[in-house]
Amino acid sequence: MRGNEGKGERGKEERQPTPDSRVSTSRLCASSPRASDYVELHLHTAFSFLDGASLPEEIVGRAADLGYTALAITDHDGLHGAMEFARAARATGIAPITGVELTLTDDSHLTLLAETGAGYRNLCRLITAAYAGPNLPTPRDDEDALSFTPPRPVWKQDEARPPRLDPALLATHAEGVILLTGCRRGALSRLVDAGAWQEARRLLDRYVAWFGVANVAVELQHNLVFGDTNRIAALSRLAEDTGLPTVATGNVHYHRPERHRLQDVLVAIRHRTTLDGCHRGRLPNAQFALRHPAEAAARFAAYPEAIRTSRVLAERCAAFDLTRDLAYLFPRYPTPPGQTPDDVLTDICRAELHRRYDEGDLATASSRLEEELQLIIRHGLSGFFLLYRDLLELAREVSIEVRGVDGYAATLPPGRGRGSSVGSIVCYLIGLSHVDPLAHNLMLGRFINDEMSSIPDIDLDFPREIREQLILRVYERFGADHAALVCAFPTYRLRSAVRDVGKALGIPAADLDRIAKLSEPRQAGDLALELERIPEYAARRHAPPWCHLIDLAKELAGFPRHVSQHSGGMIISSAPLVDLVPVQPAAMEGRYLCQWDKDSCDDAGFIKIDFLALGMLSLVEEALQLIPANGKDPVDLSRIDFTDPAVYDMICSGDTIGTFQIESRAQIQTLLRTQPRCLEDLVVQVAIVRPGPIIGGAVNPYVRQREQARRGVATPPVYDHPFLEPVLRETLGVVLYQEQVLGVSMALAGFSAGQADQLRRAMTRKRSREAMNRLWTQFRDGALARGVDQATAETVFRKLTGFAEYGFPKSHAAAFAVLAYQSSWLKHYYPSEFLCALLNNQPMGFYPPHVLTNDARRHQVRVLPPDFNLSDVKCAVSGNAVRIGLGYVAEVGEDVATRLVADRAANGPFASLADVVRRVPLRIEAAENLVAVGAADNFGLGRREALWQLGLFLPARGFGGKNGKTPGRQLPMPLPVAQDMVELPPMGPWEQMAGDYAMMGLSPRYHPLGLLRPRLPRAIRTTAEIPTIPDGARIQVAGLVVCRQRPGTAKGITFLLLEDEHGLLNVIVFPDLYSEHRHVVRGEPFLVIKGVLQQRNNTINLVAERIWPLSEARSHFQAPTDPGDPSLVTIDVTARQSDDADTGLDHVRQIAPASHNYR
Amino acid sequence: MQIEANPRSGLPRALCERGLWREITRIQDIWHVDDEWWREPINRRYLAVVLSDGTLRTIFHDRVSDRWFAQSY
Repeated sequence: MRGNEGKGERGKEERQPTPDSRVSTSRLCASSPRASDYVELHLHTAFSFLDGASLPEEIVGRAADLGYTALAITDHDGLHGAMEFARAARATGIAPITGVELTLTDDSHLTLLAETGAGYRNLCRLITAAYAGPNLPTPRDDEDALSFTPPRPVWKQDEARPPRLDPALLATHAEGVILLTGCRRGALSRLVDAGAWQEARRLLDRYVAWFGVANVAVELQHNLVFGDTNRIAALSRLAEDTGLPTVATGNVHYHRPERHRLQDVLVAIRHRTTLDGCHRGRLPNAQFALRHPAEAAARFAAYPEAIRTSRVLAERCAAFDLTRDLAYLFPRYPTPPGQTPDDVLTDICRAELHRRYDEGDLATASSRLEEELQLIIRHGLSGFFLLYRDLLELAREVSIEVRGVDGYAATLPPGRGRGSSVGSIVCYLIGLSHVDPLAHNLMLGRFINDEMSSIPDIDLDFPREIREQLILRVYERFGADHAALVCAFPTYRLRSAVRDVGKALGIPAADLDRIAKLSEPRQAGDLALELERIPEYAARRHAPPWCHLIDLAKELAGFPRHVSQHSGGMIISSAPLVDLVPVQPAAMEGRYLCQWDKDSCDDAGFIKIDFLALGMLSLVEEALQLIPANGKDPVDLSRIDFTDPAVYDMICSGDTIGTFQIESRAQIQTLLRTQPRCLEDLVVQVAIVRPGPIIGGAVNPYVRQREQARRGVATPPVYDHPFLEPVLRETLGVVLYQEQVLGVSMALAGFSAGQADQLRRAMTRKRSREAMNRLWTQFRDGALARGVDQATAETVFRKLTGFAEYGFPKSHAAAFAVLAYQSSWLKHYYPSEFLCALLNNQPMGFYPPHVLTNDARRHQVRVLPPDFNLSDVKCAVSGNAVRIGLGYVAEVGEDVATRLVADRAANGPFASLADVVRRVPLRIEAAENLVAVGAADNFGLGRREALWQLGLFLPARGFGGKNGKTPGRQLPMPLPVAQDMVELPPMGPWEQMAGDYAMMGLSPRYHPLGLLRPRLPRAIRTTAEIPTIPDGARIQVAGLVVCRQRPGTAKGITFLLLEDEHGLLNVIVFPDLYSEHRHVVRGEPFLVIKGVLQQRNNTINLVAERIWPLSEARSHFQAPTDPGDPSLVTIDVTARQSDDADTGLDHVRQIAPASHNYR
Repeated sequence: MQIEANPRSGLPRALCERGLWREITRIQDIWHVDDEWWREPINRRYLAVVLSDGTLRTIFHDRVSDRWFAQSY
């Protein structure tokens, strides 16, 4: 019936190729097909997020096994995985074809392949346009032609909208693109399915008019889905009628049929439902795997031309190679007439050299400068450095806008360098680094060297608020088409895999929470092991749904979950960036992401500029502003004494909570042993507690050497080979810095600086197996040629590889060490200002806020609760006291707090709680929380009374606006009179503390252990007593767990940091005890621990022998036989205290902040 | 349902209805369904077949039990 529709003269005329066709249709019709003719041209990888169920490397590996010689990637609406796919394919000898499956505004799909460079640029622009929608960057006047006309706004302006392309844009972006008509969801398939033959013809005519007859093929897919047979028969007839070729494709969603389960689960996750709940969204069978070419040929036996066409199109697309054909250029630096960027840079550096160095150092500095300038000029990088300098100038402008032109803050630098660039004297002289590389003996080779194959990295740290503005200003400066942020793809790990897969399988949320909480935060593949360790699940793990959870979580490991923003990388391009890679809006308004992560950007040869936000810089700046505001003399941190013994005494005693980089539990433990006494020591300290040196086996030998040297019994460092002595002497024989990776490979294997840098780069990449194999061969051969035996070469190479990506360059450690010292200096001399700035810059650092306030109290800082009349919006400092800000309280937020403070400033102090709610509109949750933490205490009301009064003043939840979430205004009725008031008992300390923790994550007045102490047996010692207890004593302690760590490098040992009202204690839990009490160690907030005290090498640890949750401990301490023994007094924390409402242990658990999750 | 299959292709060439064997003259369509693997797995190969008298049947091979069934609509 429908076969005859549309056959007419018009159709015949339109079969003629359009004048711009470059290839005649006869090219698409060759001899009879062979199985090897089939090339897959429609393929999704895991970068079709939550749809594709195989990673690019899995697909490519399978394709190589099946004998494919070419393969296309056509992910949904993006090229996120295209570069990774292309590199992987090239590495296995498969020709990669870059394409995309676009979703149009009518929700239909269309497949596009890049035949040429122009075609690739068009793909990028079309994808960009699909994402841009109403939030599109405005094209600059000097840009050619892409009209970014927004498509129909079928989404709300402010929601994360899915990419949808206005098909009208196809017409102007057809050059170099081959159009395949799409899958079952393609517009053509839909029309054919609906029997709309005429419309289908017209649609094809439109495609031909846009793309040319030689560049359109009717896509045939047969995945053994009901309806496929009839549809491809109809499509084939339609193609014949219109003179277009057909092409067979597989709509591949995974590399092997077994993956269909994971694909089903991904669909469920995408629809935020269970497998049962997404029946219509799931693919109907397991036939969407990459097929053997012979199988594909057999499936399309009735359509041999469709198989041949796939080969013909693949051969045409071979002209464009994504790994080779991108034309990226860094922006040219404009120079005055008659001067080159080399001249400008040289002049600036030489002038600055004389300003920064004394006569005594000038010769050395000058020689280093000339050496660097030569390298920079040889590599043509002068413009690159000058552009960076300009960016810093831009940051300076931003800084003035943010900080103002007056006051101390205006004198602060806008940012500072980190990373290997800190080793460069040029960076130091042009202001990109604040560390003198000569003073710290920093090596240049890691940053720039003779044989450099790629542009060096320059990382800049900025305070958060400056960075935010700077990114926007860079867009303004270069144009949104020329600058974009690098994206990142957060991948599935164990916990996220458990939650998402489990939910899809319909496993109850309570089970998933429990498994996720008790599971180690390692790779998803470890789940079977994890379930085996949890008694409740061990027996069930072989039965559905648990067995599915185990299998699928393992498969899901490493899958990208979504597109996110890299921590600060930005790409700036001289050519429009949207010609090189698609650009999409970031979650944050006004920002744009390029669709490649840092590795793909690196592969593309893009220059990444890192603008990083460093919270500690914001903190330090705020502290420096608080000091004069608190009536003290201003401080210039660049002029403080970096050799102050009092500061090093504090550091050496491990009193570093809140400081930069040296505050963690592991750092404190190491500080106690290494005893740093100068900045150089701190550089080591920053670098040493890193997974790189730990895995590389560097920590213990280094620390031992330090301890022996202090005792005057040092033995010479041991080197794996005498060649290594010059490189590793400085760090006592171990590899601590990335520069030493270079030095070691040069010394042992005779690597050139360029080869050594290649090795370092390969080690820091995610996908570098092949490169590492190649470099190992070079390393071994080089070492053997220098007379080093293979075993030594292997040992050293293994250490270098172990060091891998998680080590710092020395230059970076030096930059961080300066900040570590500065923050320690502030903590020592200005503890109240330091705490105040810490609280105002949360979240940051290692510890939750209550640990910071408890620590500050031990440094004589008073912490005061919020107060309607005394608090500012943020926390504020006065003398040695820090007053918690109104905005710090949950549900209040900065806006409400600002309104309260502004009204107070305008109309005077609040006279009463009634006055507060009359003058300032407050949501009841905000008002209740403020009252609950004591903001109304000074009105002379008990908190309970004040809360009761609030119920009279403010509408209850559900009134005063939609869902009670908008500010409730007082009803127009008189305020309650005195006789309405009731007398209520005051809140007890425990109840107040619980409120504090719930609303602020800290308690200004109480520590839970302080309140529980009278009810604990005297046998439980406090942390204040511990220094007086001898090594080896068996003791019991109780406390709140503020940190739990089970580092992969610690051979199964778990470390707990236990806090009581006096301080902290490090607890070591060995694997056997951990296995026995796993859920207690991992999940309980309050513990009683019995163990052996170790006081060795300046460190104090408790080696746990028994562990109880505080709630259970009392039964172990009850004394049936000798009630007179004071050590056996019952812990009765579940009993009600006379003056307190509830001290039940359930309540104890509730106050434990969420930050006590395992880390 | 009883089926007589082609030993090479595995495709049915006759089926038995109410004790009467009937020849399958044409297979119009084949499609697969793989579903509910997380509960009671469904793994079926459906065939739309034309019998010798020109009537149509939809039958399926249940791969889990290795049995043939007639699909009633």
